[in-house]
Amino acid sequence: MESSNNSSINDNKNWKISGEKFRTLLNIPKYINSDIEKNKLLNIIIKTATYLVDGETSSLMLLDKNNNRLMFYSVSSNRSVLHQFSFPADQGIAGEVIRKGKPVVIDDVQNYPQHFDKVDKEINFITRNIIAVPMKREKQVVGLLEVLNSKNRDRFEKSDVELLQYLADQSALAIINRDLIQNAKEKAEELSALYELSQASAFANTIDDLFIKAVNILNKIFKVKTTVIINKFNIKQKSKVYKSKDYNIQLNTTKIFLDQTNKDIEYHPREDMDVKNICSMTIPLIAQDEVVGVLGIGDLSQTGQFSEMELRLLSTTANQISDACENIRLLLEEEEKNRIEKEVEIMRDLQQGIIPKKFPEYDIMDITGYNHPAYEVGGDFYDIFKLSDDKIGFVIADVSGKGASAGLFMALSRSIVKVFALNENSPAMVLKKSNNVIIEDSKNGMFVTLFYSLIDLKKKKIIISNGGHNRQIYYSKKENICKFLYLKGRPLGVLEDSTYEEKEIDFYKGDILFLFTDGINEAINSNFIEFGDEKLLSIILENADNNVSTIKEVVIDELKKFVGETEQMDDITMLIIKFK
Amino acid sequence: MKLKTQKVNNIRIIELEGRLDVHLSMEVESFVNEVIEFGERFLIFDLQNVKYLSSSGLRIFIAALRKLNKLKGKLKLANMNESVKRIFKVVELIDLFDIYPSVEEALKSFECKS
Repeated sequence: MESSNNSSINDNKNWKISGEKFRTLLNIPKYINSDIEKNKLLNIIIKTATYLVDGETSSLMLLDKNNNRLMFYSVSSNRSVLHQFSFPADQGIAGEVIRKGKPVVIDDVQNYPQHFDKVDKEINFITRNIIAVPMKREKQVVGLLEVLNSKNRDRFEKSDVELLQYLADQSALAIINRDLIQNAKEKAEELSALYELSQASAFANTIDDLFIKAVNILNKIFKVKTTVIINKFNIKQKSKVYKSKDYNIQLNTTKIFLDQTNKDIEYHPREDMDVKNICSMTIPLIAQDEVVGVLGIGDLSQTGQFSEMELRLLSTTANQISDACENIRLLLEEEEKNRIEKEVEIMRDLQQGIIPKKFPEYDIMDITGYNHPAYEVGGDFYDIFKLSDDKIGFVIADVSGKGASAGLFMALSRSIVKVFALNENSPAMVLKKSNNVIIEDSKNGMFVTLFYSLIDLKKKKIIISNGGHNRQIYYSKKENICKFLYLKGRPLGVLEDSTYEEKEIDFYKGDILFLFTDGINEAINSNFIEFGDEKLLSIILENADNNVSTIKEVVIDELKKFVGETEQMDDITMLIIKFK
Repeated sequence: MKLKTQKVNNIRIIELEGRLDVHLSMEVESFVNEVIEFGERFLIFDLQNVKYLSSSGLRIFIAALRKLNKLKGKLKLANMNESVKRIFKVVELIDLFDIYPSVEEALKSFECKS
């Protein structure tokens, strides 16, 4: 090896190069590879280029295919700062190199027509001559490498071009590989994030669980300082905010989150920085075409900007979270349905135990009853109890509402009324006392309408009292008429210290006491016409000579005929007493 | 059950529409509970478009009335049609409520008190 600072001018390939430069050449693959951090890599390439071909300075440009611009990098004289700006990729000498894919050497740049002097102005430099070589691998151009202003010589040589091209090829390789590895890493991270999130989604049992996990995963993966998810399902549930550990978003940003009703991602640039970077954004979580929550991301700690990959990943995770939400919601709905069905079953059994199915037999009267709830758990009930050998109490009642709580309330009311009735001979007093106890337990406006008939077998009297129940029917055999029995009085459970009236009726052989709830008279057909208690009155009148079972069957038949097969009826409850 | 609501000064007017039976009355009930929880004390129910009221529907009014009375609030009903009035009469609840033929008159009645 000859030590010489100058390379000899030769057209064939026999040129000479200094030992140091040769060593540098050999070391290129070692130092210029895909493992180095990007800025450091570019720095090394630029410095090596300058050294290798003896120029004053070098620059490197990377092509951004998406917007066809070149990103310009150069190293300042104190060798530390990397300038950066971009310009259109079709301009100037650089444009030419990119287009042709071949090196260009220009000996007199200032007079070169294609010279794009914006770059000069930008870095405060006057270009005398240039070598510009493309950085490419096979057909793929990633940018170009330039060395400017040959030192100690008038012009650059062909050998310089060859050296620079070699460096450029290695650089291109390093850059391409680095990009590939970077993409692969990002893809892997993306998949890993999605996997973690899908695990969280699969095992989260509640929305709370899901969102708390999601917030923490997002925080970890994006290295974001603040993430917050807000969910708002419907008017029943208030908005909840789930924050990551170092949450410090300002209050007004939270307001932005809550206001998000559209389905677009919204970007919120920070006003305190004069950087135009986006450093927070809100992504809607959409399920079933509705915004069910808002994902807020803020304050990326690293670059202060969202890369395309990050945006894509955030969108994907938002979708995943939304889907998971929806699944949980469906699951909870299903569970709720099962729970209600279970509850209903328990209630129905309870009710069946309460409403008497067998009726006591007496010489003086026949009794039958019928209870058919519209839903599994109805609100109607009747009760029969003995106060003494010749005093029997009959209750027919209707609890407001349906379902489990109505069932419970029904059991409660029945017990209270029974206890007072067994100890009180005045039906009006029974209702008054029962009301005052029931009202304490009726928290959500529940009430029960109740008609109480106390039959005295010895005196042959019926004493009646009413608490808001619909008028009942009495058939008098002597007069051969049906009449309505009605007394004023509020339902039980509505107002404290309500008072009630009572009335005495003498009964005779052949008379019928027909007790029922409004499920019968208020039953409607498909034309929204009510069955009506007048109609019921005439049915009883017509069948007054029949026994109680027959009367019962007839009423049920007539009702079914009227309502029609497909219509849903309210609870059908009746208690029929015929005196013998 | 459709539900429309607006506020006039510190009085909330709730307009109900349709058949107030057991299913849909639950929706109305949660709305009313929420509204009371949020601090509202003066309610007017506009019932002009209520076609039918079941005992579940009645229950909501009773519950609201009792809640508001306890909190020193007021509940008024306006625009009852005949069939709804009948339902209230049958269960002897008609004289439990302040009933007005129109929302305007119900609003006016609030002014007199304050």
